[in-house]
Amino acid sequence: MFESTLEIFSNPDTYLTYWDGTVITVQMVFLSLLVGGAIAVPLAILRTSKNRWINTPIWVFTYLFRGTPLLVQLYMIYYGVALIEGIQQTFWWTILKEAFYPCLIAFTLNTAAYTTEIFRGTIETTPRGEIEAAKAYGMSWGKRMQRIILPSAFRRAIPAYSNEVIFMLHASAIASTVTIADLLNAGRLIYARYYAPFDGFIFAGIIYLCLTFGILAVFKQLEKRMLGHLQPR
Amino acid sequence: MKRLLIVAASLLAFANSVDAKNKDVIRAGVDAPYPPFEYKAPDGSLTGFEIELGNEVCKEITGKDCEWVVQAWDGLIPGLLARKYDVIFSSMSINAERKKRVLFSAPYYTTPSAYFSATNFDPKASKGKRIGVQRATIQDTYITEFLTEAKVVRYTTADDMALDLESGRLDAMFVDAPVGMGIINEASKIVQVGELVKEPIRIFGNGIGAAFRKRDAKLEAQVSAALETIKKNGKYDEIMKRYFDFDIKI
Repeated sequence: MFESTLEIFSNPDTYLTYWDGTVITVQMVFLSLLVGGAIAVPLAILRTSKNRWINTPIWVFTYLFRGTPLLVQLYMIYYGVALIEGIQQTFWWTILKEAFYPCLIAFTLNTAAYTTEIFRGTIETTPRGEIEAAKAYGMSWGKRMQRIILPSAFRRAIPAYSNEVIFMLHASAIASTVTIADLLNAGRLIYARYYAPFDGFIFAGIIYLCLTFGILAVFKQLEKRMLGHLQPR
Repeated sequence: MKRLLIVAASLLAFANSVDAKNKDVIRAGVDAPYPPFEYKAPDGSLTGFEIELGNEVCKEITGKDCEWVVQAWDGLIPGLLARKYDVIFSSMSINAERKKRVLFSAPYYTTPSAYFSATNFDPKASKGKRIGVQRATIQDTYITEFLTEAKVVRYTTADDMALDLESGRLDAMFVDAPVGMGIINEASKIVQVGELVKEPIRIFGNGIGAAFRKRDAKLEAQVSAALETIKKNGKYDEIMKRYFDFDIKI
Protein backbone atom coordinates (compact mmCIF):
# COMPACT_ATOMS: atom_id res chain seq x y z
CA MET A 1 0.00 0.00 0.00
CA PHE A 2 2.62 2.54 1.08
CA GLU A 3 5.05 1.39 -1.58
CA SER A 4 2.59 2.22 -4.31
CA THR A 5 1.76 5.57 -2.70
CA LEU A 6 5.47 6.36 -2.66
CA GLU A 7 5.80 5.20 -6.24
CA ILE A 8 2.90 7.38 -7.37
CA PHE A 9 3.91 10.57 -5.62
CA SER A 10 7.63 10.33 -6.30
CA ASN A 11 6.90 10.46 -10.02
CA PRO A 12 6.81 14.08 -11.27
CA ASP A 13 4.42 12.96 -14.03
CA THR A 14 1.74 12.53 -11.39
CA TYR A 15 1.83 16.19 -10.43
CA LEU A 16 1.86 17.21 -14.08
CA THR A 17 -1.28 15.12 -14.68
CA TYR A 18 -3.05 16.75 -11.75
CA TRP A 19 -1.86 20.21 -12.72
CA ASP A 20 -3.22 19.82 -16.26
CA GLY A 21 -6.51 18.59 -14.85
CA THR A 22 -6.73 21.48 -12.38
CA VAL A 23 -6.13 24.01 -15.15
CA ILE A 24 -8.92 22.54 -17.30
CA THR A 25 -11.36 22.40 -14.36
CA VAL A 26 -10.68 25.98 -13.27
CA GLN A 27 -10.86 27.20 -16.85
CA MET A 28 -14.18 25.52 -17.48
CA VAL A 29 -15.81 26.58 -14.22
CA PHE A 30 -14.59 30.15 -14.56
CA LEU A 31 -15.75 30.55 -18.16
CA SER A 32 -19.15 29.00 -17.55
CA LEU A 33 -19.72 31.17 -14.46
CA LEU A 34 -18.68 34.28 -16.35
CA VAL A 35 -20.91 33.69 -19.38
CA GLY A 36 -23.71 32.16 -17.31
CA GLY A 37 -23.68 35.13 -14.94
CA ALA A 38 -23.78 37.57 -17.85
CA ILE A 39 -26.80 35.76 -19.32
CA ALA A 40 -28.51 35.55 -15.93
CA VAL A 41 -28.67 39.31 -15.26
CA PRO A 42 -31.00 40.31 -18.13
CA LEU A 43 -32.96 37.06 -17.72
CA ALA A 44 -33.52 37.78 -14.02
CA ILE A 45 -34.78 41.29 -14.78
CA LEU A 46 -37.15 39.97 -17.45
CA ARG A 47 -38.21 37.15 -15.12
CA THR A 48 -39.53 39.72 -12.62
CA SER A 49 -41.65 41.33 -15.34
CA LYS A 50 -45.40 41.23 -14.74
CA ASN A 51 -46.04 40.58 -18.44
CA ARG A 52 -46.80 36.88 -18.78
CA TRP A 53 -45.38 36.66 -22.32
CA ILE A 54 -41.96 37.78 -21.12
CA ASN A 55 -42.03 36.03 -17.77
CA THR A 56 -43.18 32.53 -18.79
CA PRO A 57 -40.52 31.57 -21.40
CA ILE A 58 -37.80 32.37 -18.90
CA TRP A 59 -39.58 30.40 -16.22
CA VAL A 60 -39.70 27.45 -18.64
CA PHE A 61 -35.94 27.79 -19.28
CA THR A 62 -35.02 27.87 -15.61
CA TYR A 63 -37.49 25.10 -14.80
CA LEU A 64 -36.02 22.81 -17.48
CA PHE A 65 -32.41 23.37 -16.50
CA ARG A 66 -33.02 23.23 -12.77
CA GLY A 67 -35.38 20.30 -13.10
CA THR A 68 -33.05 17.86 -14.91
CA PRO A 69 -29.66 16.50 -13.84
CA LEU A 70 -26.66 18.30 -15.29
CA LEU A 71 -25.35 14.95 -16.51
CA VAL A 72 -28.47 14.47 -18.66
CA GLN A 73 -28.10 17.98 -20.06
CA LEU A 74 -24.45 17.29 -20.87
CA TYR A 75 -25.30 14.02 -22.68
CA MET A 76 -28.13 15.71 -24.60
CA ILE A 77 -25.79 18.43 -25.84
CA TYR A 78 -22.68 16.28 -26.38
CA TYR A 79 -24.33 13.35 -28.16
CA GLY A 80 -27.35 15.34 -29.36
CA VAL A 81 -25.49 17.79 -31.58
CA ALA A 82 -23.69 14.93 -33.33
CA LEU A 83 -27.06 13.57 -34.45
CA ILE A 84 -28.09 16.78 -36.26
CA GLU A 85 -28.15 15.89 -39.93
CA GLY A 86 -25.18 17.30 -41.85
CA ILE A 87 -23.67 19.24 -38.94
CA GLN A 88 -20.29 17.59 -39.61
CA GLN A 89 -19.97 19.64 -42.81
CA THR A 90 -20.68 23.01 -41.22
CA PHE A 91 -18.40 25.50 -39.52
CA TRP A 92 -20.04 24.72 -36.16
CA TRP A 93 -18.57 21.23 -36.11
CA THR A 94 -15.01 22.55 -35.77
CA ILE A 95 -16.14 23.96 -32.42
CA LEU A 96 -18.53 21.24 -31.30
CA LYS A 97 -16.16 18.41 -32.28
CA GLU A 98 -14.03 19.05 -29.22
CA ALA A 99 -15.69 17.85 -26.04
CA PHE A 100 -14.80 21.17 -24.37
CA TYR A 101 -17.42 23.35 -26.03
CA PRO A 102 -20.51 21.12 -25.69
CA CYS A 103 -19.51 20.80 -22.07
CA LEU A 104 -19.06 24.53 -21.64
CA ILE A 105 -22.49 25.15 -23.21
CA ALA A 106 -24.17 22.70 -20.84
CA PHE A 107 -22.45 24.17 -17.77
CA THR A 108 -23.18 27.76 -18.85
CA LEU A 109 -26.89 27.15 -19.43
CA ASN A 110 -27.15 25.26 -16.16
CA THR A 111 -25.50 27.90 -14.03
CA ALA A 112 -27.41 30.63 -15.90
CA ALA A 113 -30.69 28.98 -14.87
CA TYR A 114 -29.75 28.80 -11.18
CA THR A 115 -28.23 32.28 -11.12
CA THR A 116 -31.32 33.74 -12.80
CA GLU A 117 -33.48 32.43 -9.99
CA ILE A 118 -31.05 33.67 -7.32
CA PHE A 119 -31.07 37.20 -8.79
CA ARG A 120 -34.83 37.14 -9.32
CA GLY A 121 -35.31 36.38 -5.65
CA THR A 122 -33.14 39.26 -4.48
CA ILE A 123 -34.60 41.69 -7.04
CA GLU A 124 -38.11 40.88 -5.86
CA THR A 125 -37.22 41.28 -2.20
CA THR A 126 -35.83 44.79 -2.60
CA PRO A 127 -37.40 46.79 0.27
CA ARG A 128 -40.47 48.65 -0.98
CA GLY A 129 -39.37 51.78 0.83
CA GLU A 130 -36.26 52.06 -1.32
CA ILE A 131 -38.29 51.78 -4.52
CA GLU A 132 -40.86 54.31 -3.29
CA ALA A 133 -38.09 56.71 -2.38
CA ALA A 134 -36.58 56.33 -5.85
CA LYS A 135 -39.99 56.96 -7.41
CA ALA A 136 -40.43 60.05 -5.26
CA TYR A 137 -37.17 61.37 -6.68
CA GLY A 138 -38.73 60.98 -10.12
CA MET A 139 -36.43 58.18 -11.35
CA SER A 140 -37.57 56.25 -14.41
CA TRP A 141 -37.78 52.40 -14.37
CA GLY A 142 -34.36 52.14 -15.99
CA LYS A 143 -32.71 54.54 -13.56
CA ARG A 144 -34.32 52.76 -10.61
CA MET A 145 -32.93 49.43 -11.81
CA GLN A 146 -29.50 50.84 -12.45
CA ARG A 147 -29.09 52.92 -9.30
CA ILE A 148 -31.22 51.28 -6.62
CA ILE A 149 -32.53 47.80 -7.31
CA LEU A 150 -29.65 45.99 -9.05
CA PRO A 151 -26.77 47.18 -6.84
CA SER A 152 -28.73 46.22 -3.76
CA ALA A 153 -29.96 42.93 -5.27
CA PHE A 154 -26.47 41.84 -6.31
CA ARG A 155 -25.12 42.51 -2.84
CA ARG A 156 -27.84 40.51 -1.18
CA ALA A 157 -27.28 37.69 -3.71
CA ILE A 158 -23.66 37.14 -2.71
CA PRO A 159 -24.19 34.44 -0.01
CA ALA A 160 -26.52 32.37 -2.22
CA TYR A 161 -24.30 32.89 -5.24
CA SER A 162 -21.22 31.62 -3.42
CA ASN A 163 -23.07 28.33 -3.00
CA GLU A 164 -23.76 28.21 -6.73
CA VAL A 165 -20.06 28.77 -7.48
CA ILE A 166 -19.04 25.89 -5.20
CA PHE A 167 -21.73 23.61 -6.64
CA MET A 168 -20.52 24.43 -10.13
CA LEU A 169 -16.95 23.52 -9.21
CA HIS A 170 -18.08 20.14 -7.92
CA ALA A 171 -20.56 19.56 -10.75
CA SER A 172 -17.75 20.17 -13.23
CA ALA A 173 -16.38 16.74 -12.27
CA ILE A 174 -18.90 15.14 -14.64
CA ALA A 175 -16.98 16.64 -17.56
CA SER A 176 -14.67 13.63 -17.27
CA THR A 177 -17.50 11.40 -18.52
CA VAL A 178 -17.21 12.96 -21.99
CA THR A 179 -13.43 12.55 -22.28
CA ILE A 180 -12.44 15.98 -20.94
CA ALA A 181 -9.13 15.76 -19.11
CA ASP A 182 -10.30 17.60 -16.00
CA LEU A 183 -9.26 17.13 -12.39
CA LEU A 184 -11.38 14.05 -11.77
CA ASN A 185 -10.07 12.56 -15.01
CA ALA A 186 -6.54 13.07 -13.66
CA GLY A 187 -7.61 11.10 -10.59
CA ARG A 188 -9.01 8.33 -12.79
CA LEU A 189 -5.82 8.25 -14.84
CA ILE A 190 -3.63 7.81 -11.75
CA TYR A 191 -6.09 5.21 -10.47
CA ALA A 192 -5.91 3.26 -13.72
CA ARG A 193 -2.17 3.68 -14.20
CA TYR A 194 -1.19 2.41 -10.75
CA TYR A 195 -4.39 0.48 -9.88
CA ALA A 196 -4.59 2.66 -6.78
CA PRO A 197 -8.09 4.11 -6.36
CA PHE A 198 -7.50 5.67 -2.93
CA ASP A 199 -4.37 7.61 -3.79
CA GLY A 200 -5.73 8.75 -7.15
CA PHE A 201 -9.06 10.06 -5.92
CA ILE A 202 -7.95 11.36 -2.53
CA PHE A 203 -5.38 13.61 -4.14
CA ALA A 204 -7.98 14.90 -6.60
CA GLY A 205 -10.33 15.45 -3.65
CA ILE A 206 -7.69 17.45 -1.80
CA ILE A 207 -7.24 19.73 -4.79
CA TYR A 208 -11.02 20.27 -4.98
CA LEU A 209 -10.92 21.15 -1.28
CA CYS A 210 -8.17 23.70 -1.86
CA LEU A 211 -10.10 25.28 -4.75
CA THR A 212 -13.23 25.48 -2.58
CA PHE A 213 -11.18 27.09 0.16
CA GLY A 214 -10.02 29.75 -2.30
CA ILE A 215 -13.60 30.44 -3.42
CA LEU A 216 -14.74 30.73 0.20
CA ALA A 217 -11.97 33.19 0.99
CA VAL A 218 -12.91 35.42 -1.95
CA PHE A 219 -16.60 35.42 -1.00
CA LYS A 220 -15.84 36.09 2.64
CA GLN A 221 -13.99 39.24 1.65
CA LEU A 222 -16.79 40.22 -0.74
CA GLU A 223 -19.42 39.78 1.96
CA LYS A 224 -17.40 41.81 4.42
CA ARG A 225 -17.06 44.70 2.01
CA MET A 226 -20.40 44.65 0.24
CA LEU A 227 -22.70 43.44 2.97
CA GLY A 228 -21.07 45.16 5.93
CA HIS A 229 -24.11 47.38 6.44
CA LEU A 230 -26.37 44.36 6.85
CA GLN A 231 -24.20 42.55 9.42
CA PRO A 232 -25.55 42.36 12.95
CA ARG A 233 -23.65 44.73 15.21
CA MET B 1 -13.39 -7.39 26.49
CA LYS B 2 -16.01 -10.12 26.50
CA ARG B 3 -18.14 -8.19 24.02
CA LEU B 4 -15.11 -7.68 21.80
CA LEU B 5 -14.49 -11.42 21.77
CA ILE B 6 -18.08 -12.14 20.80
CA VAL B 7 -17.89 -9.64 17.95
CA ALA B 8 -14.61 -11.13 16.75
CA ALA B 9 -15.99 -14.65 16.96
CA SER B 10 -19.14 -13.80 15.03
CA LEU B 11 -17.08 -12.00 12.40
CA LEU B 12 -14.91 -15.07 12.02
CA ALA B 13 -17.94 -17.30 11.70
CA PHE B 14 -19.33 -14.97 9.06
CA ALA B 15 -16.08 -14.98 7.11
CA ASN B 16 -16.01 -18.78 7.22
CA SER B 17 -19.57 -19.13 5.94
CA VAL B 18 -18.83 -16.81 3.00
CA ASP B 19 -15.79 -18.87 2.13
CA ALA B 20 -17.67 -22.15 2.30
CA LYS B 21 -20.48 -20.84 0.13
CA ASN B 22 -18.21 -19.76 -2.69
CA LYS B 23 -15.73 -22.57 -2.62
CA ASP B 24 -17.38 -24.58 -5.37
CA VAL B 25 -17.98 -21.65 -7.75
CA ILE B 26 -15.18 -19.63 -9.32
CA ARG B 27 -16.10 -15.95 -9.53
CA ALA B 28 -14.69 -14.29 -12.63
CA GLY B 29 -14.45 -10.56 -13.33
CA VAL B 30 -15.11 -9.28 -16.84
CA ASP B 31 -15.47 -5.89 -18.54
CA ALA B 32 -18.48 -6.17 -20.84
CA PRO B 33 -19.43 -5.30 -23.52
CA TYR B 34 -16.22 -5.92 -25.43
CA PRO B 35 -17.45 -7.89 -28.44
CA PRO B 36 -16.80 -10.48 -29.63
CA PHE B 37 -15.01 -11.52 -26.44
CA GLU B 38 -17.76 -10.62 -24.01
CA TYR B 39 -21.15 -9.05 -24.67
CA LYS B 40 -24.81 -9.39 -23.80
CA ALA B 41 -26.94 -11.71 -25.92
CA PRO B 42 -30.43 -10.45 -26.90
CA ASP B 43 -31.89 -12.28 -23.89
CA GLY B 44 -29.57 -10.36 -21.54
CA SER B 45 -27.19 -13.19 -20.70
CA LEU B 46 -23.44 -12.78 -21.06
CA THR B 47 -21.82 -14.51 -24.00
CA GLY B 48 -18.75 -14.25 -26.22
CA PHE B 49 -15.47 -16.02 -26.84
CA GLU B 50 -13.95 -15.42 -23.42
CA ILE B 51 -17.20 -16.14 -21.58
CA GLU B 52 -17.51 -19.53 -23.26
CA LEU B 53 -13.83 -20.27 -22.79
CA GLY B 54 -13.98 -19.19 -19.15
CA ASN B 55 -17.02 -21.37 -18.50
CA GLU B 56 -15.20 -24.30 -20.07
CA VAL B 57 -12.21 -23.69 -17.76
CA CYS B 58 -14.44 -23.40 -14.69
CA LYS B 59 -16.23 -26.63 -15.65
CA GLU B 60 -12.89 -28.37 -15.96
CA ILE B 61 -12.03 -27.40 -12.38
CA THR B 62 -15.36 -27.33 -10.50
CA GLY B 63 -17.87 -28.92 -12.87
CA LYS B 64 -19.87 -25.69 -12.95
CA ASP B 65 -19.91 -22.49 -15.03
CA CYS B 66 -18.10 -19.47 -13.63
CA GLU B 67 -20.05 -16.85 -11.72
CA TRP B 68 -19.51 -13.70 -13.83
CA VAL B 69 -19.07 -10.29 -12.23
CA VAL B 70 -19.25 -7.36 -14.65
CA GLN B 71 -16.83 -4.57 -13.77
CA ALA B 72 -15.66 -1.55 -15.82
CA TRP B 73 -12.16 -1.94 -17.18
CA ASP B 74 -10.31 0.57 -15.02
CA GLY B 75 -11.72 -1.05 -11.88
CA LEU B 76 -10.91 -4.64 -12.85
CA ILE B 77 -7.62 -5.12 -11.02
CA PRO B 78 -8.70 -3.13 -7.92
CA GLY B 79 -11.86 -5.30 -7.86
CA LEU B 80 -9.76 -8.46 -7.98
CA LEU B 81 -7.55 -7.23 -5.15
CA ALA B 82 -10.68 -6.30 -3.17
CA ARG B 83 -11.89 -9.93 -3.52
CA LYS B 84 -14.98 -9.12 -5.56
CA TYR B 85 -13.96 -12.06 -7.75
CA ASP B 86 -11.07 -14.54 -7.88
CA VAL B 87 -9.96 -14.38 -11.50
CA ILE B 88 -10.12 -11.92 -14.41
CA PHE B 89 -11.08 -13.25 -17.83
CA SER B 90 -11.26 -9.94 -19.66
CA SER B 91 -8.81 -9.77 -22.57
CA MET B 92 -6.08 -8.59 -20.24
CA SER B 93 -2.67 -8.43 -21.90
CA ILE B 94 0.20 -9.81 -19.88
CA ASN B 95 2.77 -7.06 -19.31
CA ALA B 96 5.42 -6.12 -16.77
CA GLU B 97 3.46 -3.22 -15.26
CA ARG B 98 0.47 -5.44 -14.42
CA LYS B 99 2.68 -8.30 -13.22
CA LYS B 100 3.65 -6.07 -10.29
CA ARG B 101 0.08 -6.34 -9.01
CA VAL B 102 -1.32 -9.63 -10.23
CA LEU B 103 -0.38 -13.17 -11.14
CA PHE B 104 -1.03 -14.26 -14.73
CA SER B 105 -1.94 -17.66 -16.13
CA ALA B 106 -0.31 -18.99 -19.30
CA PRO B 107 -1.52 -16.89 -22.27
CA TYR B 108 -4.72 -18.17 -23.90
CA TYR B 109 -5.00 -15.94 -26.93
CA THR B 110 -3.25 -13.08 -28.69
CA THR B 111 -4.51 -10.41 -31.05
CA PRO B 112 -2.89 -7.47 -32.76
CA SER B 113 -4.15 -3.92 -32.29
CA ALA B 114 -5.43 -1.91 -35.25
CA TYR B 115 -6.53 1.57 -36.29
CA PHE B 116 -10.11 2.09 -37.42
CA SER B 117 -11.23 5.22 -39.19
CA ALA B 118 -13.95 6.71 -41.37
CA THR B 119 -11.63 9.27 -42.94
CA ASN B 120 -8.68 7.27 -44.26
CA PHE B 121 -6.49 8.08 -41.29
CA ASP B 122 -2.77 7.45 -41.78
CA PRO B 123 -0.81 6.56 -38.62
CA LYS B 124 2.32 8.04 -40.18
CA ALA B 125 0.65 11.46 -40.55
CA SER B 126 -0.96 11.69 -37.14
CA LYS B 127 -0.09 15.29 -36.32
CA GLY B 128 -3.04 17.03 -34.64
CA LYS B 129 -5.36 14.07 -35.29
CA ARG B 130 -7.74 12.94 -32.60
CA ILE B 131 -7.19 9.28 -31.73
CA GLY B 132 -9.50 7.44 -29.35
CA VAL B 133 -8.27 4.78 -26.92
CA GLN B 134 -9.70 3.07 -23.89
CA ARG B 135 -8.15 4.59 -20.77
CA ALA B 136 -5.17 2.69 -19.31
CA THR B 137 -5.13 -0.05 -21.97
CA ILE B 138 -1.92 -1.06 -23.74
CA GLN B 139 -3.27 0.83 -26.77
CA ASP B 140 -3.35 3.96 -24.60
CA THR B 141 0.28 3.40 -23.59
CA TYR B 142 1.33 2.83 -27.21
CA ILE B 143 -0.34 5.94 -28.65
CA THR B 144 0.84 8.12 -25.77
CA GLU B 145 4.40 6.95 -26.32
CA PHE B 146 4.70 6.66 -30.10
CA LEU B 147 2.19 9.07 -31.65
CA THR B 148 3.21 12.05 -29.57
CA GLU B 149 1.92 14.56 -32.12
CA ALA B 150 -1.59 13.16 -32.06
CA LYS B 151 -4.25 14.20 -29.57
CA VAL B 152 -5.14 11.22 -27.40
CA VAL B 153 -8.79 11.07 -26.33
CA ARG B 154 -9.37 8.58 -23.51
CA TYR B 155 -12.66 6.73 -23.04
CA THR B 156 -14.08 4.62 -20.26
CA THR B 157 -15.87 2.18 -22.58
CA ALA B 158 -15.33 1.03 -26.17
CA ASP B 159 -18.99 1.83 -26.93
CA ASP B 160 -18.62 5.54 -26.18
CA MET B 161 -15.54 5.58 -28.37
CA ALA B 162 -17.31 3.92 -31.31
CA LEU B 163 -20.13 6.47 -31.01
CA ASP B 164 -17.71 9.37 -31.21
CA LEU B 165 -15.86 7.76 -34.12
CA GLU B 166 -19.13 7.46 -36.01
CA SER B 167 -20.21 11.03 -35.30
CA GLY B 168 -16.85 12.32 -36.53
CA ARG B 169 -15.44 13.51 -33.21
CA LEU B 170 -12.49 11.15 -33.66
CA ASP B 171 -10.21 10.77 -36.66
CA ALA B 172 -9.40 7.22 -35.65
CA MET B 173 -9.58 4.78 -32.81
CA PHE B 174 -6.88 2.33 -31.80
CA VAL B 175 -8.24 -0.92 -30.39
CA ASP B 176 -7.84 -4.67 -30.38
CA ALA B 177 -8.33 -5.77 -34.00
CA PRO B 178 -11.26 -8.16 -33.33
CA VAL B 179 -13.12 -5.53 -31.30
CA GLY B 180 -12.78 -3.02 -34.11
CA MET B 181 -13.89 -5.62 -36.68
CA GLY B 182 -17.03 -6.11 -34.63
CA ILE B 183 -17.82 -2.43 -34.92
CA ILE B 184 -17.25 -2.32 -38.70
CA ASN B 185 -20.22 -4.57 -39.31
CA GLU B 186 -22.55 -2.17 -37.58
CA ALA B 187 -21.43 1.03 -39.31
CA SER B 188 -20.06 0.38 -42.77
CA LYS B 189 -18.25 3.67 -43.38
CA ILE B 190 -15.68 2.78 -40.74
CA VAL B 191 -12.80 0.66 -42.02
CA GLN B 192 -9.57 -0.73 -40.68
CA VAL B 193 -6.63 1.41 -41.80
CA GLY B 194 -2.85 1.12 -41.57
CA GLU B 195 -0.97 -1.97 -40.49
CA LEU B 196 -1.75 -4.25 -37.58
CA VAL B 197 0.40 -3.43 -34.55
CA LYS B 198 1.97 -6.11 -32.31
CA GLU B 199 5.32 -4.53 -31.40
CA PRO B 200 7.00 -3.68 -29.10
CA ILE B 201 6.46 -6.68 -26.84
CA ARG B 202 7.42 -4.44 -23.89
CA ILE B 203 4.00 -2.79 -24.34
CA PHE B 204 1.86 -5.36 -26.12
CA GLY B 205 3.03 -8.25 -24.02
CA ASN B 206 3.01 -11.91 -24.78
CA GLY B 207 -0.68 -12.42 -25.21
CA ILE B 208 -3.79 -12.42 -23.09
CA GLY B 209 -3.86 -14.18 -19.75
CA ALA B 210 -6.21 -14.72 -16.85
CA ALA B 211 -5.22 -12.65 -13.80
CA PHE B 212 -5.19 -13.72 -10.14
CA ARG B 213 -4.26 -12.27 -6.77
CA LYS B 214 -0.59 -12.99 -6.11
CA ARG B 215 -1.34 -15.32 -3.20
CA ASP B 216 -3.70 -17.51 -5.26
CA ALA B 217 -0.96 -19.52 -6.98
CA LYS B 218 -2.95 -22.73 -6.54
CA LEU B 219 -5.94 -21.43 -8.51
CA GLU B 220 -3.56 -20.08 -11.15
CA ALA B 221 -2.02 -23.54 -11.60
CA GLN B 222 -5.47 -25.13 -11.86
CA VAL B 223 -6.64 -22.64 -14.50
CA SER B 224 -3.44 -22.89 -16.54
CA ALA B 225 -3.75 -26.68 -16.51
CA ALA B 226 -7.41 -26.52 -17.53
CA LEU B 227 -6.56 -24.16 -20.41
CA GLU B 228 -3.89 -26.60 -21.58
CA THR B 229 -6.44 -29.45 -21.55
CA ILE B 230 -9.01 -27.42 -23.50
CA LYS B 231 -6.46 -26.35 -26.08
CA LYS B 232 -5.51 -30.00 -26.63
CA ASN B 233 -8.93 -31.66 -26.66
CA GLY B 234 -10.32 -29.45 -29.44
CA LYS B 235 -12.86 -27.50 -27.36
CA TYR B 236 -10.76 -24.34 -27.76
CA ASP B 237 -10.83 -24.57 -31.57
CA GLU B 238 -14.53 -25.28 -31.52
CA ILE B 239 -15.26 -22.06 -29.57
CA MET B 240 -12.75 -20.02 -31.56
CA LYS B 241 -14.32 -20.97 -34.90
CA ARG B 242 -17.66 -19.69 -33.72
CA TYR B 243 -16.27 -16.17 -33.24
CA PHE B 244 -13.25 -15.64 -35.49
CA ASP B 245 -12.19 -16.45 -39.01
CA PHE B 246 -8.52 -16.01 -38.07
CA ASP B 247 -6.35 -17.87 -35.61
CA ILE B 248 -5.88 -16.26 -32.21
CA LYS B 249 -4.60 -19.35 -30.39
CA ILE B 250 -1.26 -19.06 -28.63
